[in-house]
Amino acid sequence: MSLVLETNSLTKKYRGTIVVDHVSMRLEKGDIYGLIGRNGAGKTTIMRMLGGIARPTSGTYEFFGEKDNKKTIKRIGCLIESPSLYTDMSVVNNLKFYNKLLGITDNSNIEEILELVELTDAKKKTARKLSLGMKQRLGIAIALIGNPDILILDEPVNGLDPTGIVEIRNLLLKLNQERGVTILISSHILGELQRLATRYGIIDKGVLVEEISHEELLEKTRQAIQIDAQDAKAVAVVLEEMELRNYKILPDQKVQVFCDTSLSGNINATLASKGIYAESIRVVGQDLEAYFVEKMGGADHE
Amino acid sequence: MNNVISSQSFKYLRSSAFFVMMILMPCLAFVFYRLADTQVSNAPADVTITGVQALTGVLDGGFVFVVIGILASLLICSDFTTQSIRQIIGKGTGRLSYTMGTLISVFLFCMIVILFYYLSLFGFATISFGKAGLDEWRTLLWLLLATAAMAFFYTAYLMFIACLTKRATITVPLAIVTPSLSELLASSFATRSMKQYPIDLISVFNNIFLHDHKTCPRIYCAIAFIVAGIIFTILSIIVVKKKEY
Repeated sequence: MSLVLETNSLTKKYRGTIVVDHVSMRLEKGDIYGLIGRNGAGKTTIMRMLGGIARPTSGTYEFFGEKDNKKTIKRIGCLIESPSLYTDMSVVNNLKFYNKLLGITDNSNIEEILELVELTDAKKKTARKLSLGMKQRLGIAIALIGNPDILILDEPVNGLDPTGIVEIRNLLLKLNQERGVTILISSHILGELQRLATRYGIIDKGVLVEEISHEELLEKTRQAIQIDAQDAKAVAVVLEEMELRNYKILPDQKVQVFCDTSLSGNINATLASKGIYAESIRVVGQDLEAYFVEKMGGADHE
Repeated sequence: MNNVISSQSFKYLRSSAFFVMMILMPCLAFVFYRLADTQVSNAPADVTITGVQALTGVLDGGFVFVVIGILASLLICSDFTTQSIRQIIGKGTGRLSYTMGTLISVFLFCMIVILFYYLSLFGFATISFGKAGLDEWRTLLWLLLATAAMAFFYTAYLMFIACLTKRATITVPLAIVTPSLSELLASSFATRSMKQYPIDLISVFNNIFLHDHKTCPRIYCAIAFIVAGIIFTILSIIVVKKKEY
């Protein structure tokens, strides 16, 4: 895997207030990196710095291992906060504007991009008449002009209805899987990020609290029924009989069963019928939301 | 910078503000022409008034400033109000290239509107006054030079305001009131000697470019506008380079 982005102690202060505090993160090629944090955590500021529209107070960032960002900026596509559209102009003219800005004289890429974002039918509509979801897709289409290797998307599903969210999700997955575009995406909609991201960066008060892969996150947020009984092996036999084979015996002889947590009552009754009395039987492991809330400083933090 | 000029021109050609101005200008030209026509008709029998003399007599420099100002403000601010400036810079456009390219494009489009206005005006005059309307071509050239110098100054001034405030709601009203404000300030603070050589924008245009037929004051005035324009261009570049969007 080659490195697409690396930040080193990226820091931003506004009038003495630290908004982004020594953030060091790495994105590998093909990653969909979800930047998670509550409103005002510093996600947008990080993206603005990476997009070249804000300057870091200290720290550095490198795209594609190149220190001179002027050389790499054309390989980056951004959608920061809201899609920047000229509402008087049609969809296709909005794209032609950016083609001209990048010195692209052949407009054949526009049809391809419109098809990709599924706006071909709306290409002659003025941007003002588009729905919010279509505007977001046009924003992504603009970011795709110049065929970037990495997309930086700040809250691209914000304010969208469920259908719009699904459309954006499918589009991003298609870009990532078919075109190999690396994506840095921020959101505070955890469930949505969970469906997309391959890696996560959890940010709180400008500090990158944790970087975690999707697999590690699944492991940490895996829920299980934990049985505390004196004879773990006897419990295992009963579980086998119940065809619940996804379990593990912990070193302290507790047994964790990875199954539908609503089965805990059944398991307890079956164990009792076999003369095995559990000292405790409970559901362990955090759900995704609880995990992130804890990492982001707890619910009382709001 | 060429890419910025090309893309901005593409956008401005599709701007409703530009088209409204292109429709509005001939209408206003017709009003001024009618005023000039009335002046010629009412002239005493022993006084000969040429078409250009009559037109320059009724032209008001402040009006030209306001038109240039509104158009330039709307064109420049479109990047700030839509936040497209972020996307433009994010696409790798240098801030210096953006400022210069936008300034040149806006200046050119303002000049197109103004030229269209003068062509309409003198078109009407030629139809009415015959060849006399084109006799004083030197006056016409001075008028164009003056307008170009003023358009450059005013575009640069509004570019600076727009970059600083990032809001059309501030820039457009300032574009409208600045000519009148400068007149008010000039008349409030001017000494008696200064009043003989007015320093406000409208008076400069009306008294020196239109009515003073000496070459030197006209050249000095044009140079002064260009120098002021260059100062505001430099200030705009500094603001765009410093600002975060």
